[in-house]
Amino acid sequence: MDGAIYEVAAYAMRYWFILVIVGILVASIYISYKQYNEKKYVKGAMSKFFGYLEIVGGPEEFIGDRFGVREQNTIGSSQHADIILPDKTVLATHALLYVEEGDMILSPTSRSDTRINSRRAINQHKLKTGDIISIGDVDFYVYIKRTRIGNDS
Amino acid sequence: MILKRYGAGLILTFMILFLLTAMLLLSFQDGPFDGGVFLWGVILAAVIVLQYNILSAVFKHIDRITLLIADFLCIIGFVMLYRMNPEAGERQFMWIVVGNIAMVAALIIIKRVRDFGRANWWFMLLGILLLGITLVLSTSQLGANNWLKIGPFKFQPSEFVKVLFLIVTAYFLSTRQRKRDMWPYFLFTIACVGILVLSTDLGAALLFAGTFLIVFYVGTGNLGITLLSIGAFAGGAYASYYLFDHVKTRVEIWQDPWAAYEGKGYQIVQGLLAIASGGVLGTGLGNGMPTSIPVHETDYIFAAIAEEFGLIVAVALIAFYLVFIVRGILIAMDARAKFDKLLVFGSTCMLALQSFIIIGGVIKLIPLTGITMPFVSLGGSSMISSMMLLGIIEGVAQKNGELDEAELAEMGGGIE
Repeated sequence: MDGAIYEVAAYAMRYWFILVIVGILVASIYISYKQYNEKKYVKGAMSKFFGYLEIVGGPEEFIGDRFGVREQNTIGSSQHADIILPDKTVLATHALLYVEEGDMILSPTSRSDTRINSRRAINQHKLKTGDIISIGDVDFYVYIKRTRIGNDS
Repeated sequence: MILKRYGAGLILTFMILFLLTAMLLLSFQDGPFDGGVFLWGVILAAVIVLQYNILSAVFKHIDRITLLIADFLCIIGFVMLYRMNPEAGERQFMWIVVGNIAMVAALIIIKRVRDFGRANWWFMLLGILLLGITLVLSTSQLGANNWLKIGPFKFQPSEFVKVLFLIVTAYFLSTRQRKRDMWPYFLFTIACVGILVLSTDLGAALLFAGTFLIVFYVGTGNLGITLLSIGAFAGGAYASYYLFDHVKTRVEIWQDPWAAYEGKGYQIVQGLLAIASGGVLGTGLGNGMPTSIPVHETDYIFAAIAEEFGLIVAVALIAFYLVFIVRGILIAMDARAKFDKLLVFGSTCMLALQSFIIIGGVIKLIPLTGITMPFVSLGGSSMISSMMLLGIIEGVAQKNGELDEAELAEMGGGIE
């Protein structure tokens, strides 16, 4: 390729270089932006959960299901409950589960069949990780988060 | 709940396309097709692809976009250097490889270390010693005595002291509560800046002082000492204007480079002419005359890029630094320990200031002080230290990612 042809080729190629470089820039800004938003969303959603309940006993089709625990939860068979258990041994509003001053507290409603580690619960009880709570025939494993997503400051 | 990590394969593909087409064009520069030139492009492309894939497989949580932006800056620097002087391009390739090794080393060390504890006192001693030896033994290069020659090797100690300075800064600001317990750090800063001013390495002095001001204010929020330091800084700058002829000339040629066109202002004028002759779209790779600018391989590489690739690419280059800085600050905000926060913030700040000082100098926004453009300029010391700063940022990003993953795993989630 002689000099004149090279000059024309280089002159034409500059549009391609501009296109590629601007493309890289736009792609990196776009991916950064998407990643930032998703991270913010996931962290925001995660920080609302204080722990989870995992079904370990009861009807076969429930076993393995996990429910995130928020600040205020109702457990029951009604459609309005936060943790819905469509089982005939579960009352419409069976128990309340809430977080108070960092402790997770289970408060059964009256006449409900609620047990904590196989012992019948009537009043409010503090829960800790590893407890098994039984709502009717359904057994839950309790997990309470040790750390909260966020910074140390 | 799953937090998805976005792969940046698209960006990598575009980068490799850019590198290969640019090297293909350059291989026709001297008439017939020269396979050797294109081969260099293929080798660098292979190195970048390998580096990206290995790093993102071994260290799952490193910030891929920061890594790729640094890679892209290396690529555009390599293409430009190869176009101006093939031998310089080959040397730069070697430094990119060595820099990558330095980056991985820094990444692994930062990932494991908490805050270096007592070793910081040795870092301070080593920093002062390196700068002091340079002041005594240096060989003068372009008005600044910042080179140290040991046998066949020539290196710039101030580039490595930068890394030590950041670690010491983060250590003292994160472990000392009271300001009066920080006196060794203040003394260290004053000594570093003082020695650099004495060896007339004004760019580095400005960089250290600026990083100190910003990181100190961010770390402590103490307005009094920060204002006092700004005052001292301004006073020192004013005094050095009268004390050193070097500074005086720099300011004079900044105010009116055309008056000294034949002499000291020649470099700035040539740089401005190069940027102007390139225009918005550039002259095309290989069509300009960037070699007529003095020091076009290191300090003035921005003008060379602006001439041949055009203003759009030059602005995009600045935007790449901005994306890099924003992502660096996000990593710093995400870090759990104060030491990590300040270390990453300091590294980001230093790279930001360094690119601002040199680009600002080249476009005649601020007086020109000789300093390298991170990742782009030719130079082993500069490439290795910039890569080490990148390694620090990636190391903390990896730490953050591991902690995030542990927290998400607790809740049955994860990071993909």
